[in-house]
Amino acid sequence: MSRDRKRTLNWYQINDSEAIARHLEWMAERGWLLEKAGSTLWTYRRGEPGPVKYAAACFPEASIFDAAPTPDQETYADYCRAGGWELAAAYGPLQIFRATVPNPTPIETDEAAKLETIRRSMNKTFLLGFTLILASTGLNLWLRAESFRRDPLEFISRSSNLSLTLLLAGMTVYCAAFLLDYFIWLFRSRRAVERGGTCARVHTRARLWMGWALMALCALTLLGYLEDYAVPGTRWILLYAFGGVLLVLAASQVVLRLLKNLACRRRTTRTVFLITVVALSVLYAASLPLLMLGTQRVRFLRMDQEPAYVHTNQTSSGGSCEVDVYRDPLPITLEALGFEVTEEDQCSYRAKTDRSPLATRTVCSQGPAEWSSDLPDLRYEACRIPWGWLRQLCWDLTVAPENSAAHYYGPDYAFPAEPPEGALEARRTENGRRYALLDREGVVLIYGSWDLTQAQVEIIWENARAFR
Amino acid sequence: MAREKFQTLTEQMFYILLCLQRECCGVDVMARVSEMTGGRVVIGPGTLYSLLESFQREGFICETRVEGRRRSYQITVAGRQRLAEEVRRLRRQTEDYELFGEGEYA
Repeated sequence: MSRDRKRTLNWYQINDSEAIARHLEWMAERGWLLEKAGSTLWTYRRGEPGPVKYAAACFPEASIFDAAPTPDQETYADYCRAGGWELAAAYGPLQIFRATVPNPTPIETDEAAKLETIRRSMNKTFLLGFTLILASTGLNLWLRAESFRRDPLEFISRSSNLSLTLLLAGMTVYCAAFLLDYFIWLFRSRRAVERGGTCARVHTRARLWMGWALMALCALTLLGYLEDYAVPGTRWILLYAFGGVLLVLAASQVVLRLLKNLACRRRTTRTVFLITVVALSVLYAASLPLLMLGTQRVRFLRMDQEPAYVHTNQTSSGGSCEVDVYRDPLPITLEALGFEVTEEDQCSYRAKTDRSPLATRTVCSQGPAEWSSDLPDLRYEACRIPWGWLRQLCWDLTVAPENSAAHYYGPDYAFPAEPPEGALEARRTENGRRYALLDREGVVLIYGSWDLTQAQVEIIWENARAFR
Repeated sequence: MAREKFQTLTEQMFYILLCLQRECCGVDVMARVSEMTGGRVVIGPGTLYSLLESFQREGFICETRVEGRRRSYQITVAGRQRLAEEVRRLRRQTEDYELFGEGEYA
């Protein structure tokens, strides 16, 4: 970007005409004259600093898919020229004019006609887009809520989960507030115009702040992911995951510009553009799991640390299957519970800790990597949740019958168990292989592939809670 | 714009129709109305475009000539009738004012 050009983010919508004019006049005072208006970016060129009068108006018949101004649009611009205005920039129905005389005629002098052009322009542009985004973010938010309900301990202990949920909630609130604000504005404006008044005031500043808050949430989400998935060599995939969205948007804009340069008809441009956006989105969505799953060395999806070594099992069909073997220190092992572990078992000891502002969760597991081994599997997770209400909520959801195998894939902690010392409550599954325990600091879940004795549960509990 | 909007003409609507009793190019309507009213009634270019489009849709005016980007319009029979109705309405209002606003009821 040269020093003679400047670009700013555009947060304005079509009914922000007064705010747009004020902003452009403020920029002109500082020597920046609007050169081009786009969907997200506006370009300014360096000019002589001084007062320049601007006006923003709507021309509903104009479309972002037009290669050049339509004859009607040119007629409209001629009228404005006669009124003392020259077209500075346009994007779809939004037309921005610069005054050529000291006292130009206001572009809109009839509030009813003005309201009608704004309403038609909004129907054509923002409303459909925002409704689709709202539906999409709302659905995603519901899926996140379901994910929390199914496995609350995992959900709250990962910063990426929390920040993504926050972002989705932010986007949902932003879109809902946008639509609500517009319809309230439309209702109030109609009422005012019918009584001979002017269109209602637009809450531009509040929406601009909400837009910046949304940008901050995006940054927070990226940070949350970077914190969770901080395995060396994997961050570029994360950057691709987030930057890919921007790439798709940028590529779509390039395609749109190319189509316009080819002077295609509006319908052709729109059709080709929509097909391109869908194709690029599908390509992007498909490339992510391919990158994650296909690059085994990176181990992005599981976010593992490097294993101590890889053990190879021979399959019955003559093939082979590799199993990662870890040697992490564990607070309690199968050996401590009385099992004999030999070198032939190729036993893996693994501990993984997730931290978020809401919880810390350590998942420990031990089991044989060698398939022919008789050694059982042991797994326990200890979750520390500082807030009492959240702890209780997570406990209730963990042991809730709705999360059991009958309704979902989770274990059915339907049976009360003897709480070990320090535990407030204990539940177990019918076969006695899974336990859920609650104390004043958090929750401990135990799983053994054999029938656990009360003594074994107490030993695991003591060590796991101390490890939290 | 809905049809009921034209049941009462605004001042700007009234003067556009009045101005188009003689064929006139759209872009010149603003200046002619300003001239007719001594600058009292000002029609913005955006408003002019919307109203001309609405009047044309309603059949109150018709396009008479297109020279490049210059389009000329003239009032139709329906437009003249609507204008006459408006004048009658305004006249009745004036008479009512004279009767009740300045006369024995004042």
